Amino acid sequence: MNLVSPIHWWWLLLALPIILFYILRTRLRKQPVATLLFWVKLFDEKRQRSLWNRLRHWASLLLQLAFLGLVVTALVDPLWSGQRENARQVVIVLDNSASMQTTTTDGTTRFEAACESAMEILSGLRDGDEIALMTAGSTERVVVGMTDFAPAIRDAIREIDVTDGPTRVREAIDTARRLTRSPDRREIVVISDFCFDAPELLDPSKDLRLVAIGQSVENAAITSLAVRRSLVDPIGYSALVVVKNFGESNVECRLTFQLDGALVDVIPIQIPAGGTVQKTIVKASADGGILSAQIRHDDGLAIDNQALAVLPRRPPIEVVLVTDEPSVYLESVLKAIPLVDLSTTSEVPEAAPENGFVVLHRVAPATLPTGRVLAIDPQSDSQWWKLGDEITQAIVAKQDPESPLLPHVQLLNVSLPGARALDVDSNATPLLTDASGATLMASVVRGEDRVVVLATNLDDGDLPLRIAFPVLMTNAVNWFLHRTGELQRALGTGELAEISSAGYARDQSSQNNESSQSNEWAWMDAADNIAPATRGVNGLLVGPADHVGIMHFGPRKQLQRLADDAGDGDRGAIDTSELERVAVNLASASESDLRPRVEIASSDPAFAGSGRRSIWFYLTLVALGLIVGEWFLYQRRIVG
Amino acid sequence: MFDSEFLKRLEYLSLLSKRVFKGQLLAQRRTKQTGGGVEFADHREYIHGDDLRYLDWNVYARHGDLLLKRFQEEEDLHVYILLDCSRSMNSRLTEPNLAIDKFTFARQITAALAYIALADLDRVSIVGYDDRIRATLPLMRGKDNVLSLLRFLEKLTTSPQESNVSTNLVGVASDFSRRAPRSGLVLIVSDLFDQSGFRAGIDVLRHRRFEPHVIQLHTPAEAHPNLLGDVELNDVESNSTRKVTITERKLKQYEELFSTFLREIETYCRTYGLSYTRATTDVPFDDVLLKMMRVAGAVS
Repeated sequence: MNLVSPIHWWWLLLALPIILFYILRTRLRKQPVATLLFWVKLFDEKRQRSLWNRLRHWASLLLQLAFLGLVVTALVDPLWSGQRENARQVVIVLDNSASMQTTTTDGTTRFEAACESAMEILSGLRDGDEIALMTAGSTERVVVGMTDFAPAIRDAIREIDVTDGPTRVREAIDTARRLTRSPDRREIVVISDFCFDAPELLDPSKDLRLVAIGQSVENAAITSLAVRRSLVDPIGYSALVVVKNFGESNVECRLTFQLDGALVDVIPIQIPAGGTVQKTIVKASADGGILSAQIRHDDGLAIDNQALAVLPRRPPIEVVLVTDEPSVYLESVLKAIPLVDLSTTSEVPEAAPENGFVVLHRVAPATLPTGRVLAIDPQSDSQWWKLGDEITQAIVAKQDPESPLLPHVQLLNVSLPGARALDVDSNATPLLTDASGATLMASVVRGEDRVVVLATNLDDGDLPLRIAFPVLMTNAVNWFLHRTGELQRALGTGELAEISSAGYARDQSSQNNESSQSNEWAWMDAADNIAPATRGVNGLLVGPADHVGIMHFGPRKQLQRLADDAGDGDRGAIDTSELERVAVNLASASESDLRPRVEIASSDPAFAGSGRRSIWFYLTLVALGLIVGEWFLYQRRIVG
Repeated sequence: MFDSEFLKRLEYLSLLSKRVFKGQLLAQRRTKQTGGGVEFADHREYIHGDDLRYLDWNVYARHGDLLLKRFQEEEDLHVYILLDCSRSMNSRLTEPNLAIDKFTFARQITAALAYIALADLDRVSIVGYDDRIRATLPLMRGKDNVLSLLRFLEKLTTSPQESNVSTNLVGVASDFSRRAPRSGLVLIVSDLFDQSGFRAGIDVLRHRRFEPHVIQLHTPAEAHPNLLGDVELNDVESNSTRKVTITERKLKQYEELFSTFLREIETYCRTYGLSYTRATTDVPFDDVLLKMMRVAGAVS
């Protein structure tokens, strides 16, 4: 037998004051009375048995000393050798995923019920048992490692927050198995609602016990939201949302779209039981912002009733038209393209604007500006092309169907009077050719430079009057600015993602050039938790995020300022231009489906039962009985 | 102890007593003796040697019988108050936190009774006693003597601690009956904690043609003591001690014993037609007097 706390033997010294008080107590106190008549009569009639009279005080003292002895023995906590050999290593895996936020019928959440179950397991621990605590929401985490100090686990359970992330029970079980040293003594207790894919694959084996929490709850959820810029409309965008009904009854609700808080669209939807509804909206906005889709429906889980997406901003496009002969058609078409900021000049700039391009109309300097150039009806050769002879009756016979410059453009059989054959090198892409195979329009990409040349006179033909011409110009704008209809991806909670970031790329290249120390990049979730972002192959590795909302990433200092300002309630005051944003949604059908997938045996009888309590518990009970008996018999003066 | 408020209450009780009894109290009561009064009582046969002035000559003229007229003799009632001054009456010794101790309470009741009697033109005497007569206020009459009566009561104390004397009502009653000039009403104000019992003393008074009335006083704690555990009980009169362990059961037995004691006194008084009043110190003295008056009124 070992003693867990032998230092508590010191408490036996309390016997001294007990004996002292006992001696003091046996000294009779004097009580004057008006007459002894009645007392004498009373005690003379019923005399005490003398033996008991002598022993009763000793019995009282012995009872008190026995009480003290039992309490001190309980404090030193004896541990039998058999107990130590049978000590278990218990790992509690507590599911704190999003589905555990589901409110039960009694007003509590599944997570609160899970915490109560964990507490019950704690109370059933035996002496010598070791216990660890893990969470399995968003990512598996070891909250408290193996310890035999149950109060630490109890405190840790109270500190755990439920996440918005998916369930990671399998990963947590794997980690729990690595955490324990002795497989024979291992017990892994999973407390979960088992709302994840294929829970039936969890086999309640010798070392695994499953505790199921919660009942079936109906739920409707937005399982997907994607937004992308239009390929043809510079300020247009489209959003696709998928809403699924995880219930046994039809759901009728409204799907609301908002962009930065401003209402964009409201769509009434009807989702059949177990069905899915997809809706697409096409809208326009140059400024972009946070697009949110929300369903108004009172169901089991609230966080999946809303999804967010980041719509990127479209900046103004600087277009420099260089011409000596102003073309009304060309100017009108360019001005009509949204976001285009047109300026006209006769001087050929050395380089195209950073966020724009140069249009050379009937101008062909010997050296073209660097960057993006659209040359229309050039009058002379350049380093990119050589002009051939004028083609009589030039009719477009072939156009490149693959080119991003020609979608939605139909120029076949269109006459281009005054067109001249272009002689371009092999790197160039012929876009329009006539029946003889002469190139009428071509595009060239060389490094950062992009050139499109159209060798036809706009004033002589009806090309400017055709609907294809403004579309062609719009395509040219998109091609010059590398616009391919950016699909802004939203992350899922608990997901580790690699995000390509222009800011990060710029930062890295500038740091390499200046050979200085690079910024520390980090990401911040919707709950203002900041974590470092690591470098991936093609960008930044961010996540996993525990909470839905907008994730910011950028230099850590700026994120820290943003978080501090959020704490002060003044987030708008800080410049977040260098920070980039990405939306984080639950978007998990398995997490939103709150119906049980499989019958899981609930509760674990191995932890119940009074026979498993520590010996100190029984010692304390006996001591309590003794002191109650002593008080009842002597202090209440039952024994006289 | 006897302040102006106390005197007001005495006066009130006095007035109240007159209204309640309407001439049936104390001095207005007729004595049982017949003799030289003015109110005719009855006739009796003439015996040789009787005063011829009281012969009823009218009867003799009509019927020839010699009958002597008897008259109701009116005389003052003598009221004696025997006040127990033993140490058992000093409840300050046993219960220091008591609002009013038993002896003070007894003196208040004594003062009230004496005041009523004086107001009714009776002759009043107060006798303080323990194992013997300690102090005596001689017979006095009329309300003019109220102040000297109160002064006497104020100076009266219980027996000193070193005296070690116990109440002895038998001896006191015998001594008192010898000293009393006439028989009359004897009001015994006491706790009756007498080692030799209460009966013998009262019997002496009864046999000597006194009319005893018992007013028994005790404190609530004497009836329901709050003692538990091992204690050494000390009799304040005799200074004898007793080591006992008091349990809940013993307490109950004590209370039963005390109740039996009270019942015995009551039964005794009822048996011999004596008036009996029991009072505890937590009741105001005038309430006790009113209770006595109500009982007397109902009887009358």
